Amino acid sequence: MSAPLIWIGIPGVMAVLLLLTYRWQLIGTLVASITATVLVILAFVLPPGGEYAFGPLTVEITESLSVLGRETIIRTGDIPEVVIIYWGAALWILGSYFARSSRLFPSIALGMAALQVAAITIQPFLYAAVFIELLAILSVPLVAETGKQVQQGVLRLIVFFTLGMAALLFVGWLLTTGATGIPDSELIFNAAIFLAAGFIFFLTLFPAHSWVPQLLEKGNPFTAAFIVFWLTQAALLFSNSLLLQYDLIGAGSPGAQVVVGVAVLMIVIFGLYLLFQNHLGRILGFAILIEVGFSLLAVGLQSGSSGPVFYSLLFQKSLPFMLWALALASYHRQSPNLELSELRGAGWRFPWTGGGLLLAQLTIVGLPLLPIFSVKALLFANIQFEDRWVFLGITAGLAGLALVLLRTLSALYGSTDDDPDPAEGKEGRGIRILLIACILLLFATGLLSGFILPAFL
Amino acid sequence: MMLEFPFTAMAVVLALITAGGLLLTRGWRLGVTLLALQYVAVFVLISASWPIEQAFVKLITGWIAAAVLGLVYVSSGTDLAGLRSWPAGRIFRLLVILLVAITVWSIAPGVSSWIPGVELEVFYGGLLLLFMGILQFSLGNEPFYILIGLLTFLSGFEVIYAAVESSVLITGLMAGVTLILALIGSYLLAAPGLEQEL
Repeated sequence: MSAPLIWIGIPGVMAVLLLLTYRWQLIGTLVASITATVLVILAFVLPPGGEYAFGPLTVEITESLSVLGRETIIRTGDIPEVVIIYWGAALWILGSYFARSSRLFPSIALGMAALQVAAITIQPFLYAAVFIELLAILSVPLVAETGKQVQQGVLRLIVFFTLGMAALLFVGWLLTTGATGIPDSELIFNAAIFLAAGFIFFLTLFPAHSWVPQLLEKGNPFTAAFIVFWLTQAALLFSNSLLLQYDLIGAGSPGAQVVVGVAVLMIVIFGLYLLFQNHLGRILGFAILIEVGFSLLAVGLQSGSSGPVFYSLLFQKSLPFMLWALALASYHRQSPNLELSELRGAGWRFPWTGGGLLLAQLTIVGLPLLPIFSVKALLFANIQFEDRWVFLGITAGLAGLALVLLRTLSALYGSTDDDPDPAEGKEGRGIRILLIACILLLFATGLLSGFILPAFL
Repeated sequence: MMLEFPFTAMAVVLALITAGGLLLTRGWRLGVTLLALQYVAVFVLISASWPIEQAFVKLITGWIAAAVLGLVYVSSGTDLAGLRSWPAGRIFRLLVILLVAITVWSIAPGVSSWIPGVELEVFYGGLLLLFMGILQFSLGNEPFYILIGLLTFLSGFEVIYAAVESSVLITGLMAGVTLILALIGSYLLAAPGLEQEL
């Protein structure tokens, strides 16, 4: 038995089989979510490279699997990434049923998780760019709703990721085999240009971020948020591995300074964008992009080794963003227009949804006792006192998030002159139960965050 | 066996005609036909770097992709809207095609110096398709033409990448990307006409 078979092959086959449960969405959701959860547990209990006894049987879990002349290798060091991917998948798949996402969601999401693990474990590593492109293309059926015109955001998503894939595949050739016909200085310059282009498109850096608010403005906000979150997470894991593999972010190296600079720019620019947004879906999109900036900051500050801060940040932000997206989906069921002005007083009418939304925003801002606070505190402690511009940039980004939180609070719990419409819907029981469960889990992970970070060491 | 000049030169001309035709014309029938012919050019150019048996995969994949896109319009019976501005739109596109062709003509020798031992025509053809694809999806106002542009861009990239990478896995993966792009594209084209999911 090989580790790639367990964490790529089996969920991949399950994803295809789940297409047969298209008409029974609850069954598909439960099976996919349980599969993802079991894979998380297996990652802790049966790490690759060991022999395990099950009664009279002894099973050896090898690290590699050969496919068409190339290898897929899952080592013990890759387990944090596998856990992050399948934990996120389990959460989002469970939420998709109550958010009334596409019937294909459980199948496609599980398949995307398997593809993402394949992306981070394929050798040579730069083939991962093709897997990430496949992730982007496969996510399209989730947001392309039948009976409606194709969104521009969907087309831009495909275009940008295709451009990014081409740039990064070419970088792979430049950095590994090398172009024998050009001098080293020109080679490095060309590789840097293509690398920058690839990162801009994959990480949705400014200005290649335009598809994010377009996607979140229309259609089901839960599905759109999942795609933005998942694709940026895949790009972050890929970027982290690429920068470490080619030793581009050693302590104090120019590469590390560039990554930190880009991260701060992302946080500042998208923090400024947030100030001018009135649509809750777009606000969520920009919040995800700001967190991408924080994750990049963790990459840049990790001094040349696989950072537990980086992995812990990725792990802990799955739940708050899922909760945020679920709350938006709950409001979307009542009112397709998610403008702040249209949701005046909605917090009183739908208390658990409003509470879940605000708690998720507070978590992302970094309130103490909630997840992410301890990880961000550790992240900021790594910043040198002399880097004033880094501190200013982070402050600007967090200020944007905090102001948006206040505006959301004001909109949801502001007074309204109109009497509540008796015909207006109520929170569904199922979504209310899931919201409460997520809120409790959020507090639990916040209290236990001191145990989560060491788990990634 | 690998193909060489004059086949590659003819393929470059074919690539220019088909990619230019996709930018200038309207109508799905002509679009699918030109795309299929374009993949013949791609096949010949890739054959300069790979064995013909391996390059054949690109041709078959491309033809399947073109067929999948065409089947959407066959089954729905609809057609694409014409160019919004005519003839100014066509004249503008013709001039842009000329500009791209001149740019490719001037930069291809420089790019070919990065990868010695590969025919210059491969770079002419690859860069031409690459830039034409970018033009197509930048100027396209309908999903069909954006998808055609993406497939053209990918074709151009694969022509150049074939000169540096001949792995079976990457051949399979890129073929998979082309096919899945075509399938998802056909879903995008058909989705507006389907019954809304409850």
